[in-house]
Amino acid sequence: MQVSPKTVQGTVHNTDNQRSARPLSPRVSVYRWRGPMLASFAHRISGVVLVLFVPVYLCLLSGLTASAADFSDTINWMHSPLGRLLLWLIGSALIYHLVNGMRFILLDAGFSETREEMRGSARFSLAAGLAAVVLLAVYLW
Amino acid sequence: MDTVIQLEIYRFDPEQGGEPRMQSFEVPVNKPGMKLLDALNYIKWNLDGTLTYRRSCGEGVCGSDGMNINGVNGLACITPIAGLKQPIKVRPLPSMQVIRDLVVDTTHFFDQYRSVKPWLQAESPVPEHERLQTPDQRAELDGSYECILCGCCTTACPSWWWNGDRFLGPAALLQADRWIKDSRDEATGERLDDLEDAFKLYRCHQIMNCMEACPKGLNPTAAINHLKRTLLARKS
Repeated sequence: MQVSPKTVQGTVHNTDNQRSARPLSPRVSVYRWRGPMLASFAHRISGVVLVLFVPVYLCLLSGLTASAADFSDTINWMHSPLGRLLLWLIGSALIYHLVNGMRFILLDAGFSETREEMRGSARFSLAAGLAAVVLLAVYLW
Repeated sequence: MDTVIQLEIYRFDPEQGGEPRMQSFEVPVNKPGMKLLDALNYIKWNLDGTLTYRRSCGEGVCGSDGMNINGVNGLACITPIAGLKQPIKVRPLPSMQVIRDLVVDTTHFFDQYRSVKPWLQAESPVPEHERLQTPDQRAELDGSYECILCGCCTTACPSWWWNGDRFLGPAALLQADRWIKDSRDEATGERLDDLEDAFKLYRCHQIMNCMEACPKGLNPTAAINHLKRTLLARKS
């Protein structure tokens, strides 16, 4: 019996042209966000924020330790609207990253590994992050 | 419950080409406890015979009808219509090449499954009857042997969406863990060597979509964490 060149052991192998014409099914644009996914993405974003603001920490550190005049200038800047906004962002990111980071460490160590515990701990981290955002805003303004 | 349900289904016809589109359908609720697969069957048999999807057992065992249902992956045959927000949006499993409508190319998914050598590897002589396990050793496999390879977990994973060429994904890693935990398997060292790679295993960022999507209630995230701990214990 003659075997079609496209058919090997009953499996139809598609040509490269057919493959390349295939669309990729939608992914991030359609996938529903749930607690653990949100918690993980927020962890990455807060981590990036903390790293990007390293120059700000260094400026603050050098300003606060240079001279009496620099100290008071730096304190004044920290009380300005921009200073408060940056402190709010950094503080919120730090608290969320800390809480969720401890959650990840506990998960890595094998604690709270049931499905319900994973969902519950994600909700806890997100609630802690939200609380940090609100409480810091109240404190700073 | 409504007597008629609304669905929007992803359509792609390779012969006509063009962009994929969403098509609306109305389906009568013709039995209590109706599942999404019943609605797809109704469309195919009564409204539009060209609608294409995979299905076989119809009871959540074969893993053929994994699809994205209202944004979350699941099996159409065990997803009740009741409780789904309408219009029910039905799309193929995410981040896969679409062959037609809801049918995707699973070649890469199964290649990754094969790459973890999902079979018993043992060099010791085969006993007269069978390789025995204690009840406790057998219980170690609970939570991983039940996987039906539907692909719902792997195609729900953002790490796999973006690094699927090198990250093995939750389903293959769950199976890798299943064989590493098996007391009869004698290739644990080689299996761990194969996994010790920045991409194959460590692209998991605990997003946990796999755990949320698994229609069998399994937890691939926990299996991946167990693999990481096993590798760490081997080093220390």
